[in-house]
Amino acid sequence: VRIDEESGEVTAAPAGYTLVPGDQLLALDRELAGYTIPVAGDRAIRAEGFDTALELQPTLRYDREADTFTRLEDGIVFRDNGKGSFVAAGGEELEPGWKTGIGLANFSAVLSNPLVRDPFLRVFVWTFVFATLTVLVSFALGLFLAIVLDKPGLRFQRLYRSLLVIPYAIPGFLSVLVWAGLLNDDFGVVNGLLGTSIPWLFDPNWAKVSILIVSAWLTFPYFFLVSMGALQAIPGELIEAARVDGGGRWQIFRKVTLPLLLVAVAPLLIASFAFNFNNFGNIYFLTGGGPPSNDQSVAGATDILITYTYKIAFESGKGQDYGLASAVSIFIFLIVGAISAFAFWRSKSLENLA
Amino acid sequence: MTTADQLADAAAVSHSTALTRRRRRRPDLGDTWWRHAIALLALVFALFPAAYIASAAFNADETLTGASLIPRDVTLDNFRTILSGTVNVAGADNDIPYPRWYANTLVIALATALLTVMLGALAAYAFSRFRFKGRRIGMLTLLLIQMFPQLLAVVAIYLIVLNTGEIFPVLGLNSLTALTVVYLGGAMGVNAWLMKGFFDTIPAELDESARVDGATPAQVFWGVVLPLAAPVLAVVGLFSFVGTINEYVIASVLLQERENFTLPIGMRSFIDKQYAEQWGIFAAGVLLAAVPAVIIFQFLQRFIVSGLTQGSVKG
Repeated sequence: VRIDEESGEVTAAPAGYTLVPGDQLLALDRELAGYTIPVAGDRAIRAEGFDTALELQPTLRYDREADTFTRLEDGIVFRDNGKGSFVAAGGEELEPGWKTGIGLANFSAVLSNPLVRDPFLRVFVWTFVFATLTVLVSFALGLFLAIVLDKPGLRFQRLYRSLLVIPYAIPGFLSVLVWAGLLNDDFGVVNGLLGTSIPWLFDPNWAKVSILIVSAWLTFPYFFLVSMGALQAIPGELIEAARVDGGGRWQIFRKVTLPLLLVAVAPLLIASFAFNFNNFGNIYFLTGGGPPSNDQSVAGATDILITYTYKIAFESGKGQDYGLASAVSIFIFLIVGAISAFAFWRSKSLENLA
Repeated sequence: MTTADQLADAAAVSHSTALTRRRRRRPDLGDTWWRHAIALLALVFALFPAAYIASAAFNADETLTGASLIPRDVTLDNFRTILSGTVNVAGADNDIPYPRWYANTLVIALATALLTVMLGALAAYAFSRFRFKGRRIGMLTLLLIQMFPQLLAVVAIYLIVLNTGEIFPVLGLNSLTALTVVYLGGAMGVNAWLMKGFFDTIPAELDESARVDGATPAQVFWGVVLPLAAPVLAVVGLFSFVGTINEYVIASVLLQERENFTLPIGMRSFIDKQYAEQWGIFAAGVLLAAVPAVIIFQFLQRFIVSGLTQGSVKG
């Protein structure tokens, strides 16, 4: 071997060897990785990088006739359990398993697994309440502000509108994280300003209130804009006619403005409901589904179906049960779909589809 | 206030000064003070968290405990730190490639917004103007699919991208292109619906007269329908822009190299370790991240009102 004095590179190879230039090494390494060379006694040699090779020793032996694996160390036999893995009599599983059809097992697990079934009703009710109240409160707030500000010639109208939209323009997940800081019970600003020590995020009921406040904060500008537009689209003559006929303010609102407004806004309300029904980010980043609820289940007090599913599937400490999560999510899909379809049907907003 | 309003105002002012001061165009403050009061209350509710972020970002005191609504020492250090790309935590320099995340986010959001508008408009044009077999089913399906909890499609998306990446590395993991393509499918349903509703309000006679004049369907689409649909295009573009900047879950699964992060994942990874200690720097990052959306909102908000409601108002 001849080695260059300055760079330390090998410049010539002894007889019987070939010198490989550096740029070809990588390709050669890939090719080398494809070889496993068997040697006597069930062993094999395998390259590990450019300059190392390992001698491998088998730990399991496969018996083709019985379709079993035997561990050489202690002689334990692993059998195919028909569910995608080899299992020993003692229950030990060989990793990795493989994919296999299990029919409807995941769906029946949703109905029979007490972890899923027991808190399901409570979580479902809260999900429904959360989505409904978020939409209603935000819509009421937005509509109220739109009515208040919808006065021709009102000073600063445009400025108010620009500023009120800001919560909607700030990336939502960031504001939720900021709210989590604001509502911190020890050194959060909200308690500081109010002079209270309310456990905003750590008491089951207050946590729900917090979730609703933050959701309303995030959503009301949207409905404010929408209502503002819809109000302006209502012909002034209709309101005028109602006034001439002797209608009071409230009466005109109930009987003329609101119905006309709802024609325009109903589809958006339903879409917003469907969105909030699965609003993972709000819940997950504000309370993480917590605090733990009184019934000692995995579902926290503010968990909605989607965060709860996420918890059972990915955070319950039993690995990632994607199959179960998928089954639950299909149930959720059916629920939201049914509710929305019903709402659309009631509001007749699909009539113009034909 | 629009230019027309301003002109009218100016005219009214000169008019009234020329004659008497009795006729004022503005409603009296006596009538409207309660409107202003309510508006101010709403502003406090709407802006208080934003004001808090701003104050924390300019505050020299960096911890969450030291944060207050009015900064004691105003400083730009937090902005300098977050833009420099390295943040010192507990004596060790941490690599926080914030400018890179910012650029990634903008590129993805702009590309997604533009392409979403294009795709949605094409679908909406077909649904609005043509009558074909499966039109009704197609529209309902689009709407229904939208209601599937997307969060749980994440693993499927991950596997798809993993596999396509082995054939086309451009569409693989860690690719901003792949993420954009995934986003394009995400909001198809609502966007197509919104646009279809708006397209329906554009009189079909316009198409017809253009067609009589010899325009092809493509020319009708580009030359007649799209320009008239500007408000709804602006709305859809805006929503998908803001939505993309916001998106966390899918991005966190598909982008794994720190250099390729978008702002939400990046900021989240930043918080994980250093939330309470680096509150000011985090706030500066949040403030900067909010800038593009707020600016675009201010430009496009006059479209939002007409774009969102006009489509469905026609009943």
